[in-house]
Amino acid sequence: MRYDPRGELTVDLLSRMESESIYVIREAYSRYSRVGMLWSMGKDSTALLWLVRKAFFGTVPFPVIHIDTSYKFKEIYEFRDRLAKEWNLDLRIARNEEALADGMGPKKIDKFACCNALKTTALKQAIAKLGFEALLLGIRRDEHGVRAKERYFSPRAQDFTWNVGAQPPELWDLYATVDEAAHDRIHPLLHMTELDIWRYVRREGIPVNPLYLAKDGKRFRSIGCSPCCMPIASNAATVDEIVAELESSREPERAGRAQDKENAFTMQKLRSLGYM
Amino acid sequence: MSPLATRADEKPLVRIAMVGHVDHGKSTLIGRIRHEMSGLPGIASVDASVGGNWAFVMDQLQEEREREMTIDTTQTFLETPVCRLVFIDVPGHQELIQNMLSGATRADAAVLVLAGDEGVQVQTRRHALLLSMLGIRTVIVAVNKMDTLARQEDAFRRLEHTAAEELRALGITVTATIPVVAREGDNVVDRSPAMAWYQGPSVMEAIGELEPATVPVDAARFPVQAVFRHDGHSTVVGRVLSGSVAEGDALTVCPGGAAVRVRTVRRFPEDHAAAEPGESVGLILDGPEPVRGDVLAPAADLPRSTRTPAGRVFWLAERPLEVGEELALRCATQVVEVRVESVTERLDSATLEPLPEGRALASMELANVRLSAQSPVVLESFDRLAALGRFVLERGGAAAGFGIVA
Repeated sequence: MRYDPRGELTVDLLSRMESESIYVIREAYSRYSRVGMLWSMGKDSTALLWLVRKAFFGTVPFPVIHIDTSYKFKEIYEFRDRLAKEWNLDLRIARNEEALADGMGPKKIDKFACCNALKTTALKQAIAKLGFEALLLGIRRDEHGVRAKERYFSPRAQDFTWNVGAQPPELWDLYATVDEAAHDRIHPLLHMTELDIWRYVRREGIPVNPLYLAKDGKRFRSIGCSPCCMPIASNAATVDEIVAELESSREPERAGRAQDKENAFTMQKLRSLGYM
Repeated sequence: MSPLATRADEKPLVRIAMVGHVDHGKSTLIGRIRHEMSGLPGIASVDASVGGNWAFVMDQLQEEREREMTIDTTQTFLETPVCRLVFIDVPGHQELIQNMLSGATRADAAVLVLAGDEGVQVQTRRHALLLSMLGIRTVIVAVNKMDTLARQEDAFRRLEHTAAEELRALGITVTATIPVVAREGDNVVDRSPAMAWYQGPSVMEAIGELEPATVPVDAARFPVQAVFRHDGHSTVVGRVLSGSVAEGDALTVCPGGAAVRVRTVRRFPEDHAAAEPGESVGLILDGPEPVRGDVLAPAADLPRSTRTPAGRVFWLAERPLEVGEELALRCATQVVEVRVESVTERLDSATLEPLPEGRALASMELANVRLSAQSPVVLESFDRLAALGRFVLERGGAAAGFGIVA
């Protein structure tokens, strides 16, 4: 039997990126018995949740964890509770209660220590309690220079550390799962840019947190804890307008994030300690 | 097949690995491109911490900046009104070759960076060899640091000639050789008036002339990733590597040979009748249920199933691969226990010279390796279908080497 050596593609790029992500999600689910995913209700992890639903034909067959610092915007909590119900999610809320009772917050201490206590430690507690072997996260390479160095399958040591300088090789999509890892972080969105996410949100009709949509000339481009996220000047009040805005913007995505600005290497330090 | 190749009516997407010897200017060239492109809409300016050291655009780790060297591979994304580019930076140090491969195995094309004052060095040759093994056989050569050669044509022509000879010996075609001063931007985006004797394209122009990746039209190949039962159906999930899979298709489960028929091609929220290369779907089949690692293909054109897989293997791990060793072979969704039967035609990747016959393969060496497998492995030749023609050998779950099937 003979074939033409080369042919035209029939599938568009966004669909191929989607399939790449679904492949990674299913790969994780096939290899580990205890899988969970982190959901921050932001655009990326909500797109990831959408992709998980696609990968499993409309269901989410593992727990979805919200690392709740208690400092999130009220719109984030509303969005979470609405979708958790609509999509029938096994939602688990992880809070570092001890640190919160102690008054931990961005005003009490520096932002680095706050992120570490309320996010990283809360995540550690959740993993210890729920016993996950693998966690899906919605990080992307283009959002930060340190995240650009991530792998799709990224092992974490028992103490949670990420040794960015000595990551195991990841050749093609032949993902390895090293024996000595305490748990693996799985990153199905690594290849997508911020613009890809918004184009995907638009095409799929994925629910959008209202904080992203401009009100009174301002909107959030990146959302997290209310004391540490600043809105940008924008009139983009619809997803179409956000796509158009990003197609011409020259500002980096995390320009409104306080933690990235304090020190050039804050992100690296946070991530090496187990931050998302 | 490149998983991110683009359709004819879309902006082409090219992922370009920047390879070459340590300190020849790979990160600097990408950083400079990034800096010059940041005038365009949709492209963020480089952050202030870079301070004119263009390598810092890519080298974002504290230790990378302190030691002024790339440690881990990284990527930067550029989208212009006419195309999308992903630049993949890789470290030049020999000790970091595994990070180089983690980057280069994601590329469709490559720029080989060569410093004018040093010419072809050990890692230039080794990176070129790896490109050739990975199937990246069209390369742009950037002769960087032309300022150390007073931007003179004679010296450039000598390097151009040497590079072309070495690359030709590896089966690599050079589309352009470009005299560059990455730090100052000569021939990076715009042509350099300081090297008026050079009439060819700038680096960015040469990238713009690359042919976008295409997909081979071939028989259907569907490696089974898993069988899901969580929603009451037995759904065989996986990604189409080549050909198409449609409702009603009769397929053979390899290895083993059982016959199945596609009842439904499942997706969410709606099912579709057919799936094309690159698409992750689910299949509901009539017939015996396959398992993870099986490959579905039409009976008239099956891939090979073999208990004696072999390939040209490049070894990464510090501890050598030895005849008699048992380890795991990973290819597409297959993981099979294998034993090393023979190691022949060893080559030193630094000199590209043959090594004496032996029973072991050390780090940075390559050889023809014959294996015996506990159960049959389904393979194609790399040149027919790359995704079934490459494998990784794993020790303790980590990739210790990779192989290419002839």
